[in-house]
Amino acid sequence: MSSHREAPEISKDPVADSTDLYAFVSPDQPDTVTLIANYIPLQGPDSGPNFFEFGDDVRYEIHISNTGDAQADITYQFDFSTEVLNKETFLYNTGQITSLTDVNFNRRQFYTLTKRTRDGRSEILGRHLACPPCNIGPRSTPDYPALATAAVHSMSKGRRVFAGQRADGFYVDLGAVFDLLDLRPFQQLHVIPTPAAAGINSLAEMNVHSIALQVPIKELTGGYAGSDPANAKSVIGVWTSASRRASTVQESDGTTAHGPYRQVSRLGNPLINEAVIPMGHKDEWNRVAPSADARFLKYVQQPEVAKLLPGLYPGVFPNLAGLTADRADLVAVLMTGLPSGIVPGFQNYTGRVVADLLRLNVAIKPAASPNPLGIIGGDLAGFPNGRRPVDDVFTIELRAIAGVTYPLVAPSYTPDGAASVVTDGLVAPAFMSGFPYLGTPHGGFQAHAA
Amino acid sequence: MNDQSRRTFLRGAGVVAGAATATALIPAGSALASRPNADTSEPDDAAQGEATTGSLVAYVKDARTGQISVLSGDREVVVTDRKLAQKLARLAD
Repeated sequence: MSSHREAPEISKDPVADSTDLYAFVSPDQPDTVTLIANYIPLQGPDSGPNFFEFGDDVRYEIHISNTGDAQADITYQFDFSTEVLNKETFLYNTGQITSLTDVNFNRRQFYTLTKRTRDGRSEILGRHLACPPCNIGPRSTPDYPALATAAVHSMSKGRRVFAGQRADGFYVDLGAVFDLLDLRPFQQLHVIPTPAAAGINSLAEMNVHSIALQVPIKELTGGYAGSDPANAKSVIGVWTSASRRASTVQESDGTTAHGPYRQVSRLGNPLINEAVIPMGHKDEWNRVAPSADARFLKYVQQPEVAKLLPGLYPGVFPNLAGLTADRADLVAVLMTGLPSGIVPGFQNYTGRVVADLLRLNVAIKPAASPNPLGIIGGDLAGFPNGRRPVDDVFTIELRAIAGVTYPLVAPSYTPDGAASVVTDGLVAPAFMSGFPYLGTPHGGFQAHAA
Repeated sequence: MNDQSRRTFLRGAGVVAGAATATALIPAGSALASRPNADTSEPDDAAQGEATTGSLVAYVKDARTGQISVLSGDREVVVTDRKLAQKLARLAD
């Protein structure tokens, strides 16, 4: 998956497990950027009595680097707290929830949003901001979209924020991919062939918890409006992290936590810790800052998947099999951004510091008809220029690793024909046209009804 | 936690400990925390000052070198005190 349960330690701590990160110029508010960080993977909608919620003991953050050194210049920090109206019932809701203040909404979450800047300043942007309930079913949450809309909070300077359950927008055929990289349309060419079959979106009925923030472009760029794609100030680097207190003590009457927050999960580009970083380093990856990513560079330069493909598909990837040089194309796409002169009219270079950041050039206007293949599909507003929910990041990264982006740095290289058609055979699910963009979460009652 | 309260704690940390790696949890400000004790490499300049209230954690990262991490609130103070670390380690034996 993009980053769902991608490392051994965090797979045991879903509340702090970042699953996806999106950053894009808002199509309906093009003077703003929308940042979405998803957590708590693989939520079955019918998960009562204890429906999913953010961790009160987890600090969730979205970081922005805008000075080219992969350090956080701006951090948006989300701290949650849970309130229970009636502790003498096992019920999440004691009747229909028709508003966020409904007395039937028994177990509620709120959060404080704090903006911190590199110079040490801190500003609380919102306190006691309400989350919506989970989508339980037509009796309990009869008008879920209205509840979600009520949980979109407008703040000063045109900012908007939402935190709560959404439908997971990531789409991937997990069953096939992790069955020895079964890929379409070459299933019959696999070293262990299978008949062709339609792709299955493993996350089609799963929910996540999203932290979505929409802020003016100028807030993220140090005041630059983002009018020139070639200007270095147009590019921001984004990542999210979750942190827990250094020490937790289980006592007979509860839990106490002590010490500073320590990072346990982070995410920039999709699928990096998932499918590029080897198992022995995944937990380390989650603990360190992106600015320390030079230690992982060799895994990007020599990705394991590129070595696996020719063996799993004999004769399908002969040119890739002969490609032994370090993959400077993948380093540029994932770890430094693409400098000017590689893709006409585009750059998202953040400097020489090697770091897994989702890099967004805010001067590229939203596409009227987004292409899910992003830049390799000719749509400069899509991944790896930031990431939109619609972007088919699995296919994009798979094709890049298979060689389609190598000619960017080695024009004489000819990618295998298969590299530009390989996919997991899925199309994007439906998204909302406005903030927070990710779809209405799947209802618990409705689960498994199909 | 300020340095004075940290030292106050360190002077009185004759409490729970593991062996080579030990964790101590005490109610700061208790009799234990304020008990005079010279088993510390820190200067004895912290007789005054109030101790942190509530619980805190002292984590002996390495009893051999005496590195101790004191966690209180959202702060961490790391000190090196071989005598204290070894005393804590002995208590766990």
